[in-house]
Formats: sequence, C-alpha cells, structure tokens
Amino acid sequence: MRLIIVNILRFLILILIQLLVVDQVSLGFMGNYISLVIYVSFLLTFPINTSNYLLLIVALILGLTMDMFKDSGGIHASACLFLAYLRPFLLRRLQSQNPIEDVEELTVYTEDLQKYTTYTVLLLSGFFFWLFLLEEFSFSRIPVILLKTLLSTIFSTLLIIIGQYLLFRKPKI
Amino acid sequence: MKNLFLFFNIIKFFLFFIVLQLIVFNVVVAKTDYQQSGILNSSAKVSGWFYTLKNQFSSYWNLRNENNILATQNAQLKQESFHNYTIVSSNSIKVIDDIYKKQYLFQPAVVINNTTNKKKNTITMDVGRNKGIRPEMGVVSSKGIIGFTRNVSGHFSTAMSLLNTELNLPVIPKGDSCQGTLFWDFNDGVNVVSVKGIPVYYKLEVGDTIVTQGGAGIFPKGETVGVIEKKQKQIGSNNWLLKVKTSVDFNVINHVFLIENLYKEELDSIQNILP
Repeated sequence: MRLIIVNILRFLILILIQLLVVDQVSLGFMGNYISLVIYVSFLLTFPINTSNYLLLIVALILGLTMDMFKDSGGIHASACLFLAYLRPFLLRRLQSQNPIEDVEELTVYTEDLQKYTTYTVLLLSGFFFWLFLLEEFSFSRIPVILLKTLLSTIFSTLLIIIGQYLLFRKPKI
Repeated sequence: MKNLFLFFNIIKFFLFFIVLQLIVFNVVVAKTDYQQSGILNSSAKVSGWFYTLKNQFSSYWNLRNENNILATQNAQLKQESFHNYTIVSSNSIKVIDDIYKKQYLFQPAVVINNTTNKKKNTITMDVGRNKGIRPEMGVVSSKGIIGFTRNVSGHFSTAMSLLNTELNLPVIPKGDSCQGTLFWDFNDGVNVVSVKGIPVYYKLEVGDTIVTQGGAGIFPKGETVGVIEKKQKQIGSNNWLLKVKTSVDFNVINHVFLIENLYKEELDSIQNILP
C-alpha cells in the first residue's frame, strides 16, 4: 500500500519536474543534440517484484502523458515501452552476476553507485536510440542518431542520478 | 497444438510488447494525418490548462521587454493617425471611402507554450474556436511572421512555427516580385530559415528584407520574414539558396496576432479550379 502511494506521488512529481524545470533549461545550440530526461527515473525505480506486464502498461501511460504535454505524437510512449521491455532482461542478467538483495525497488541508495550507473546507462541508451530513431524516421541518419543518443545518455544519466539523491528519501534500515 | 501453446507461452511477453507498440504507432500515424490529432495535442484540455497556469507565472519574467515592444508599436500607430497630417492644399480633400474594403482581421493572442529544439516546432496559444480561430490562419508578432495555425480546440490552438521542417511558404524580396519558397533546415538552428527557388539573375544583397508574398491567403502581402544573412548558389541548379535571419526571436515569443483572411474561401476556391 505504501509503495503504491509513493509511486503515484513519484509519477506526478517527476512529470511536473520534467515539464516545469528540465524542459525549460535552454541548452542553446547543443539543444539540438541533447535532450534531458528525468521522468524515466520512474520506470528505473519501479518496484521489481511486480509483474512485467504491469510495468509495460505503466510505461505506456507515462509515455502518453509526456506526449500529450510535449506534442510529440507517441514517440515518448514508444520509447518508454521499449525501455520497459528491456528492463526485465537486464535485471535477470544483473541478478545472475550478483544477486540483488532483498529490496523492493532499485535506487541509488539500495545499490552501489557503479552498478546503478551501468544499469541506468544501458536502459537510457536503448530509450534514446529508439526515441531518436522514431524522431528522425530514417536509417540514413544513423550517425546523427548515435551521436544524439550518446550525448543525451551521458547528460540524462547524470541528471537522473543527481535527481535521485535530491528527490528520493533514503530508506530506513 | 500443445507445442503451439507452449510457443505462445514463451513469447507472450514479447507479443504483449508488440501489441502495445502497435497501439502507440496508430497514434503516431494519426498525427501525420493533419487534422485528426485530437487526443495527443497540447491544445487538448488538460495540457492547455496546465500551460496556461505555467504561463501565468513565467510571463512575469518578460514583462519589461513586452512593455517596450508594445510602447514602440503604440508610437508607430500614433504616427500614422490622421491628426498628424496638416492640410497643405486649400482645396477640399475628397476621400473615396468605399474603394477600400477590409480583407484581413487581426486579433491578439498570448503564447502559452513554445518549442524551438525539435524538428517540428509548435506554438500553443490561448485562443480557440471560442474566438473564431480556424486552421490555416497566420500568426505574426509586431516584428514579423511566426507561423500559422494547424489544430484548433475549444479554447486553445496550436500553430506550426517557421522552425518546422514541413514548412513551405511563398516569399518575395521586398519591393520585388521573384517568388521563392521558404523552408527550414534543422541543422541551421533557431532563428535561421532558408529560401530557395529565386533565380541567380535577380540581384540580391546580404541585408535585403524578405517578406511574404500573400499568395497562399494566410498572410497579407508584405509581412516581414527577416533579412538575408548569407547567399550562396544552390548546388546543381541556377537558383539562390538564401539563409535568412528571422526578425522574430523564436526563443522569446509572448504576444502575437492571428490574421483572419475574410476572402480565404473565395481565394481557395478560385485557386483550386484547374485551368
């Protein structure tokens, strides 16, 4: 019950921060190549013991909400779905290397920083590649797409990790 | 049969993913189909309300600037008023009143959301069908043209800005009549648009003003677009490729005017008749 309320609040607050703070940051010329994203943090920290199908549906809702505000016509929803589809496989892979201890959700507090950064970078690069591929909608511009993916992943990972330190509470043990 | 079910059991997560993707793709495709993007549009009710709220706060940052612009415009309008003219001839002035008939109506609007870093940038305004806004009405500010409306809902409307790769607009150099086509190259960045299609034997200089042609019926003839910043020959043709610096700063747009052409339907109907 507590987890449900926390996640609903997180959903709303992350969307507000994305729209009112992060999207208002003007990056000048580099704005063409970097898109900053923090709302994906919701999918990264979604409780791990829930069904994967629920994760997909939540990703769809989250993405469509962003599309509605950003006027981007479904590309964020599609990219969120892709991220949600990748996450279970990545988790299984990470768990096989060294099992995740008994935690409800993955945040910077529950995992060590290096592991969490790897997890974020992998998922975000998938997310951005899909997003920019749909935005450009052509394979001939693959170099540009890759460059944008690289830059956006680096900066958004930084943003998400710093954001989690600032916004999320340290779980009491 | 049993194997088939087993197979579906293995790939059911993947299938679910594909089904959801297809749902989303339907939305994406509906978006390209011009007028039908009702659901996922910031002229939709919720996001329109949200952006109005946001704008109520953020518009304070620009007040000083906006005041200056409005004051300048007021001064310009005052100068044009009738009282500034003295009568130099003793003959009575004959005013032929009915040779002019109004063709364009201007009405003010406030921009509540504005993007510049995408390939297809849009502007959301706080007027909609309630104020008689229709698709394909021109949007200008006191400095120059900004775009034209695409989607209109009850209380909000979105416009395609000049910074949109889908844009095609007939333009001319000021005081000339050679028509070119205005478009936007994403790699040029904000506030730079391009004009193609003007033959090289027309003498153009850097610094010349580019204005609208008025043929599409969206803008009146002679609305400012910007000044030529760079001219080069288009590769493989005998035309100029002009880089035009827009007179509007697209990062800061607040108060705009929407232009209604009273004869738009008539113009469209005669232009659609094939010769």
